[in-house]
Amino acid sequence: MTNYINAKNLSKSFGKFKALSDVSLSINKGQIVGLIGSNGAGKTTLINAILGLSSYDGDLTVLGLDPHSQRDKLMNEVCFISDVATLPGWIKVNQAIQFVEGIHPNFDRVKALEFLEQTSIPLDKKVSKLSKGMIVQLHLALIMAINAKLLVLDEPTLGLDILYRKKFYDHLLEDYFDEERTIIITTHQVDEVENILTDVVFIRDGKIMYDASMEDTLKTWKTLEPSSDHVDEARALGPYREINSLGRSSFVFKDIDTDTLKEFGDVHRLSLSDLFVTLMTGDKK
Amino acid sequence: MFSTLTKINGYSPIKALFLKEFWDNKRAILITPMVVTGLFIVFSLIALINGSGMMIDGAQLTEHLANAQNIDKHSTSIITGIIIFSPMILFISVAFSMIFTALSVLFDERKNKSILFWKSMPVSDTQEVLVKLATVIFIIPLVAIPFVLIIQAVTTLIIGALIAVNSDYNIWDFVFLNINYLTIMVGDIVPAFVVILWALPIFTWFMLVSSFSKRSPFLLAFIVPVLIMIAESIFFRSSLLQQAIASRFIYLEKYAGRYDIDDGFTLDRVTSLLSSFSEPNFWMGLVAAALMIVGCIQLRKRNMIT
Repeated sequence: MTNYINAKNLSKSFGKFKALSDVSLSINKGQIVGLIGSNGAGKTTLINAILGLSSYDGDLTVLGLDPHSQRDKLMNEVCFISDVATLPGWIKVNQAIQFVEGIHPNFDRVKALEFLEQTSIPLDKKVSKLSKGMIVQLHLALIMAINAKLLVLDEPTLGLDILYRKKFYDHLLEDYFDEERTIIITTHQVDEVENILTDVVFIRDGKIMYDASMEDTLKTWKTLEPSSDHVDEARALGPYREINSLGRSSFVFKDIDTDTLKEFGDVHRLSLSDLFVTLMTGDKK
Repeated sequence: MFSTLTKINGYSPIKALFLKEFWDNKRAILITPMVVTGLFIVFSLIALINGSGMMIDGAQLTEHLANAQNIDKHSTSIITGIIIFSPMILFISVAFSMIFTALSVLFDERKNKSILFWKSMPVSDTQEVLVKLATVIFIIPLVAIPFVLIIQAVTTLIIGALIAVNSDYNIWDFVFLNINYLTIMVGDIVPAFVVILWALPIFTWFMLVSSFSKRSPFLLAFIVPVLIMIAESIFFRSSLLQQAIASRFIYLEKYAGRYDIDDGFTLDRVTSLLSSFSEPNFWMGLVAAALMIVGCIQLRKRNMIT
């Protein structure tokens, strides 16, 4: 089975508010998918549906299971960290380790302790006595020591300092990820994950606005910084979007090959955050 | 032995769930009975040293003993009664622990958002809720049993000491050989669980409230039935709910409310209590409790955080 998540016409309403409308999405084995959208775009609603935490309309299978009615089975193969700090304050670090070891068949205590050794988290302290960053580190250590097929990280590095964030993503890629696994990441820090993603999904107002592999994205989207005498010629090529800053113009192009663009100036890859702004502001020229 | 019970090595999900509840509710399960027992011992010793005796039937214990001609039925019955009722303060504190745990057990995890962590683990909501129920109605009273026995033992020693000081009787014959301690243990522990089973719908009601209450499950748990009772009496001039709730405590009152010194204590009292299980009202209560637990499970499936 290579298809891990398959959603067809997935919808979810809260009263009159449509948090998700007709979302169709397919995520396969071996992908690292960035799920990107502003606050309230529907990211967490979509993730909650995938994790079996809420009901939904439409078809959704995750690892061949119906997530809402088979959440307990699903969690053998899926682990997640939500954007809210979720470890209870009363639990001691070593109790949290024992609990996950007792309850999860695919948990490796040695691995968890190895992760914790790299931090300064004391094993005999209660979670309520740890700093916010330490709590996230502990949670990550517990989750990363679980051998799961699907890892869902909802704003995983919120509250961590930049050094640890960098270390975390390196570690995620080098030690955790392999072809048998799939990772879904939502984050506001798009630039941090850009380099590790294989696929990217933009979501707005409960709809999927963009869904492509990073490879295709890089092929399709480019920015051109034209030299000052070529600005008008570049503009004549019909850029998707024009960006003016500090008196210089740059253009975002779609589906125009690099060699053509090179004649007018410097061609760069379009960063994900710029692509997001380009697609989401919707000021197509 | 205790450390193997409270440590996890390897995959054992039900044990992990129970340990989680134990860690979370340690104060209600272990600390409270420990403190109450400690206070009981301290105050008993103070009372003993001060010489202020216990009042029974309008007379001091020592007077009773002085009046007792010999090891007769009357004096045996008094001593048995004192030992049987000595853990009363502990029973009351255990009842409070059970009530407060039932009210918080599905509320706190939503309030502190840890429910999302528990839900990221491969256990069903049914398992979680049933373990929480078992913690409230079984683990809390079970852990209190050793403390019941300690209080009974301390009481026995104090009675022995009082008799030794105030009379010429042979304590060994009078207190230690004359009293049937096994009967006393059974007489304390078995009725406690009978009463808990009768009150099961009340505990599950508290759990149900804790699974949907947004702010204060404590207030809601008491206000809702009171409002229903008032509405019932105004519109229907009936008091069915009040009667239904009161009927849950008939056997608590029958058992603990009266102790006839002349009759003494026999196991017949316990067996007559057990025969209350044949009443339809008992089974109706269990059905109501089961429905409320199904409600708790369904709500936990849907709700996430408050």
